[in-house]
Amino acid sequence: MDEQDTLTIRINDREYQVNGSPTRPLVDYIREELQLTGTKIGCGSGECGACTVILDGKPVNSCLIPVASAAGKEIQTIEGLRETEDYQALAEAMVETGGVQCGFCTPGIMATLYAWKQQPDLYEGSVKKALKNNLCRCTGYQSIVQAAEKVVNGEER
Amino acid sequence: MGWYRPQSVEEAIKILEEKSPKIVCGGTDLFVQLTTRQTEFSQSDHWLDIQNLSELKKIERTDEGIEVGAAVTAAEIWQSPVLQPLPALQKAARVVGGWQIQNRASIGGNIANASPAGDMIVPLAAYQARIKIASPNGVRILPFDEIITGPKKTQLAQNEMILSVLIPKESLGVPQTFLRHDQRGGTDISLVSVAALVKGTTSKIELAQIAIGAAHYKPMVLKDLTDRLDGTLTTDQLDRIAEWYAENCQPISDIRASAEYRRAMVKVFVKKAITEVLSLNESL
Repeated sequence: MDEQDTLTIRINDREYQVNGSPTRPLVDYIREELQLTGTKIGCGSGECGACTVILDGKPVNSCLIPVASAAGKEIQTIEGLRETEDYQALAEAMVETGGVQCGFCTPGIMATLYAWKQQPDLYEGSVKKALKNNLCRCTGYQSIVQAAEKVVNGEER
Repeated sequence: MGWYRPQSVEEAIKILEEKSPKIVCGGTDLFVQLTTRQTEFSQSDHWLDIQNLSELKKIERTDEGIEVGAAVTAAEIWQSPVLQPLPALQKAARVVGGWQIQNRASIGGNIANASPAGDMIVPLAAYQARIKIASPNGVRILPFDEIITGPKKTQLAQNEMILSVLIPKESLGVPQTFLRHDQRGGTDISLVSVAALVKGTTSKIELAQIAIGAAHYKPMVLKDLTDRLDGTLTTDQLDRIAEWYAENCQPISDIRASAEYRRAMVKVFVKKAITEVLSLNESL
């Protein structure tokens, strides 16, 4: 049985001891406790995707996940992805195509794109389908899709 | 407040008995608006986190059909090669939310949550699946049709947990589909959905099982449809099946659609689903 007051959580390759309420949202912990404010809070309902982080390699909504539920898992936030080659290629492409406007959805979009880049055959290779859970109210998505396709197609899919 | 992460089902059951916790898996429905709901959770609340129980993560072909563990996620369902003989279930799993939700939402949660608008539960009803449930008293198996007793209500007792879903082999590989009517795909919720299995051609029907979702407090199934059809499926019969569903369902009116509209769409989508499956069969 595992009823601990302290949880261990791994974020961006570092371990943290978490105290307090087990139901505290992961996104709040990331933003307030760790001051990693790249991850945004949008709808709080798992619809907009602004809070997307990578959990064991998969994109998830950090607003719906209590910290205790993320214990023992590997979490990457936008700050952790920043150093990777894939992220940098995607960021460069987003700048080229104009995929960033107000920027609020961008960290979530980048997290999803990063995960999709690791398995671009998912959803029949459709980045639009992979991005279904990420809302952007500025760009109309076209420039974001172009950026993603540019990076993936650049590697001759 | 206690958050329990058992290492085995046995341990989970012990915690169920001793602490009366709320069972949580992916939490995609349980924890909507989690930030603002912190005060709702009392200090004395206990949580049983079953997402990591390997016994609940199985997808296995058995002699009777396929067994899917309660903690298997929607993403795992539609990506599983073992579940390819169940395209209606895979389609329903792919239409649940988006990628992020699919990575967390579990099939057991979809059942226990008992939302009338649930997606994965609709094909389960059409398959006439059975649910394996554990408690300190042992294991019992319940026909899918009996588990949901009202909107967001099940007959699961406080000390019971869903272990898995048993899908009978009669459903495997049978031509089938799942259709969902919604306003904007993506993160929307179903207005009406249909899962249909039809084996044979209009002049020789061997099996027909249909369930509708989001139009009743639970997925609704016309019992013994195959026997009622008596081997054929004429245009007349098709109309009557669609009408039976439209007349007997009890949809609600809410922000998404009126009951009247849902009823009309039930008729349209039942016909559409059956026609689609039949056309699959003709092209075989």
